[in-house]
Formats: sequence, C-alpha cells, structure tokens
Amino acid sequence: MCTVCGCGSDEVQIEGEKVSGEKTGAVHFHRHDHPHHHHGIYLDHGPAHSHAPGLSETRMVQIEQDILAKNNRYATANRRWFDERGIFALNLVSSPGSGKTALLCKTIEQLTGEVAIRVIEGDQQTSNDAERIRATGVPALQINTGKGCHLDGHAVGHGLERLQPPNNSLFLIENVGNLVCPAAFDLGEHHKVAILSVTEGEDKPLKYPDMFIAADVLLLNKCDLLPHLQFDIALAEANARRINPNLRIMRISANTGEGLAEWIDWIRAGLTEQRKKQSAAGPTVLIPLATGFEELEAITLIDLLRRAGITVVSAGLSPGPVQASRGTIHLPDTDLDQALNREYDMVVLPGGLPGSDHLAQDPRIIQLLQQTAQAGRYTAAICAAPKVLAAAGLLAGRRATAYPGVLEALQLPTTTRDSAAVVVDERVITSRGPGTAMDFALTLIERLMGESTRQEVETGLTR
Amino acid sequence: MHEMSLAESIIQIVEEAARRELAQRVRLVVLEIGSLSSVAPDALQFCFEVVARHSLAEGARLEIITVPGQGWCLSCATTVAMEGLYSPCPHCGGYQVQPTTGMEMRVKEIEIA
Repeated sequence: MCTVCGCGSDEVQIEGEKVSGEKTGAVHFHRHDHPHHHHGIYLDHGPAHSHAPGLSETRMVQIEQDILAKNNRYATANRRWFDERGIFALNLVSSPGSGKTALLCKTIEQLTGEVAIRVIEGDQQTSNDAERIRATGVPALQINTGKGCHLDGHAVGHGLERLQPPNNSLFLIENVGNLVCPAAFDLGEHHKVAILSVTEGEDKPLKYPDMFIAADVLLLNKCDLLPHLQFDIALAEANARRINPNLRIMRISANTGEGLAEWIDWIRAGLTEQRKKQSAAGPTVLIPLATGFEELEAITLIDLLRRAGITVVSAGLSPGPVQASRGTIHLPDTDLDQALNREYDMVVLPGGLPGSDHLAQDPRIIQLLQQTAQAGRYTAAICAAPKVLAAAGLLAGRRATAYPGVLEALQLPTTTRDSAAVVVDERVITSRGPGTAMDFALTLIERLMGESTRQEVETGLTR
Repeated sequence: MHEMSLAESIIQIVEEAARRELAQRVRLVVLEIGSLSSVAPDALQFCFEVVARHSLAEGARLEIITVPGQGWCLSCATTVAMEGLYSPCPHCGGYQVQPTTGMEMRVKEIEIA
C-alpha cells in the first residue's frame, strides 16, 4: 500500500505495476487536504431517521461533502504543480477509435525540438499506446485502469511522479476511450480536448453532451475521408455549438496533416501563456513545523511573509495537526513529503523546544537545508533552530545568532557568535528569539522582495 | 456511467467520517443527487452495496434524495424547470438555459451506531 496516501487497494496499474508505495526517489506531491467538515451532531432528528428506544443508540452525522471532492483536490494539486513549472497540460478525450493516438504522434512530430513533451496513456488494458508514443522518442507512461472507465486525478498525480515532466514542457494525457465518464473527472489539465472523427455520427454531441460541454476544443478528425462519407460536417459543428457555444472547433486530419497548423498554433499559444504564469509567480518559502515549534515565531513568519505577497508553504513533519510549544494546535498546509516535491527560494525554521530538536533529527530537513544552500538559495532560522543549520553544517565559517546559550552549547569552532537581533551572512540568516521574530520576518521580506515591500509591510504593522 | 468510482468515493467519505466519530458501524447513508448529474441511481445503489462490503458501511441502507433540475433561461430571464441538462426552455424553446440546481453529487449525512 502507498505509504503516503494509502492508495493501492484498487486495480489501477502504471506500466503493469500496481500503484503502490515504493518510493522511487521522487516523492509524492499530491496534497492530502483537510477540508472543513460541518459535522454537527444531533440525535433523533425526526420520524425519517428516528430509532427505536432500547436499541443501541444511533445518531445522525451531517457530512455535506461533494462526492468528487477528493478527486478534485488531487486535480487541483496537479494543476498547481503544472502552473508552478510552466507546464501546459491537455486531457484528450474521445470515443475509442477516433484517432487520438495517431493525432498525438503527429503532434509530437510537429513540436519535436521546439518543446519537451511527456505523455500519459490511459487504457483499460495493454501498453500498446504508450509503446506507439515511445517510438516517437517521447517518454510516455501507460496507466491501465482495469475495470475503471476513466483516469482520475490521483492516478495522474502518480504518473507525474514517474514521468517528472521538465519545466515549460507540454504534457499530454490520452484518456480512456469513452465519451461519458472522463467528463466528470478533472485531472488537473488546462483544457479538455474532445476528438470526434467524421466516421462517427453528426449527432454525437447531442447523444453525449457532457463531454462536449466539458471540452474547450473540439477536433474533427479524419477530415480527409469527408469526400467518401455521408457526414454533414456543418451539422456536426452546429450540434456541438448548440451544446457548448464557446467550443473552439478545428477540422483536421492526423493522417494527411490537414488543419494541423491551427491546432499546433493553439498549443504554442497555451505554452506561452503557461510560461508567463510561471514567471509572474513570486518567491516561495517553506516553513517546516515540528511538534513543539514556537508558535509566536512560526505564525509571525507566515503572517508577515504572506502580507508581503510571498507564497508560504507550512509543512508538518507528518500529515495532520501539529501541537506547538505552548499547546496550541495547528493544521499545516501540507506535510513534508508532499512539500518536498517542489523547490523553494528559502527554507525558514521557527524555533521552540522540542521543535528545533525534532527538526535537527529529521534527515529530510538536514538534506533539504544542504540542498537549498548548495543551490545558492536562502536558509534561515530563529531562536533554538540555528542549531539545525549547524547540524546541517551551514554555520561553518559564518556569523550567526540564536537564543542565548544555544550556539554556546555546540562545538562550533569556526562560527562567529553574534548577539544582534538578526544576522545576515550571505544567504544564511539567523535571529535571536520570539521578541525578534518581526525583525527577522521583515529582514527575510527585504531579501526576497526588496526594501520597499519591507517598508510597506512594516508600516501596515503600526509598530 | 462511472458509478463504481463514485461509490468508492462515497465509502471513503463515509468511512472517514465514521472513524472520526468513533462509530462501530454505519446504518444509513443519505446522498443528494441532482437529476441533471447523469448519475443512474439504480447503478449507484448496486455499486454501493458491492463497494461497502468489508467496510464500516457494510449492509448500510443507501437513501438517495433526488434534487430536481432547474436553470436560468437567458431569453426569458427567469428560473425554469430542466428535464435534461441540455433540454430547451419550456417557455421559449430556446437552449440558452444555464443549469442552477440539479448538478449535485453530495454525501448529505450518515446514521452511525
């Protein structure tokens, strides 16, 4: 069973293997959110659900939760992952035999050398399609859904871990050939692209409306066959527009290449759009929260950095709530395993005991700090947490501050101790304790966003 | 359509809630399913029984509350009843009807012991 998300009980297979928890270097990134449930409890709320007295007591619990909420959370995580990397993702849907795989091969052929491409192939059985894609030289992953009639956000998330699509790439998902079920399951793609071949009926959009409303683009494929068919293409387009007036329709033939220029240009425009999104994104900061962290410092950091427009991810060392050093209970944005699947401009460690010790004892934290420093990015710690930087070897030869006594207790012959509120030594920033948390946070803001943003945030605090 | 996956999601939601409430078992699961949501209640009922086996909801009764479809007709500027997701407005016969209710697929509540 998957150690992170507990999956593996169904029969989805990736490249012939059950979706399982074998960690393959890549870590899970999909989030296990904890949505807010309204579960007001009430007993015996009326005739419909009343229970006979004397029997074991039953009670009603209100849930009010969308059945697809879980899939949608996985899909949202996938989409965010794509957006952070400037990746453009398409979900290709159609009935079996509409020419999806042939279209993919042709699309790859036209874009090779221009953009990196990765493909997920969804089929109930066989890896024939993935093999066809691999023959073009593009990495492809086969997901077999077994009895399932569609891909879901969770399976695609696992697929992303395996494929590790590079930044600014094109990500193509060929869904299971099925005009019904894939409509309801968001995979995190930017657009669903429906493919209808002219050898099918003109009334397909009316017979299977869900898919045509879910799609943003309709490709009418095999148009080279039109002279031989009784297919009324204008009627097919009118039917599709009746269902979805905003549908972008293109007439193509994957076989002859007719009409493909418009399709390829549309993909290029999407890629450009995604790249803009990525470059517009500001810095991101990771704040790990271990049991016993100092809440005054952690919350001050999260609050002030977010005021400055910085993306802050708080991550527990394991999933679920974390109790801070003064007994308050906090629900982090995510857990460390998932948080580690992206890169951060800065890693900030709040202090507190035993929180700082827990951080120092976690090999993932030590590795993360070392990698962050090696990549020339910021590491920062306050109060007792500079000892974690020391454990990662990052204070060697540096000037640093911490809560009084913390650095003294360590054998750090090459570290210069400083009693200042905040000490900046190149990309290693340390601070003294709860009372200096605001100065510390404002210094981090200044480094990441500049002097004027710092001033703006500081003014808003009315210190 | 995809009732088997929906049933699996329902059981997950139900089991999570039941565990949170320290329930021994689940007696009843109440769903709200919109009439426009393209879920076939009979198929869902069948799949639910299959998926519920060996879960806290094994043997639980499934109650499906159907939420009737309604939409806003842009031409008539009024709320109209919708029989199907893409059926025309019953007043003007036009297709400019935006569904407003009837798309729900929710676990409303459960009865636990």
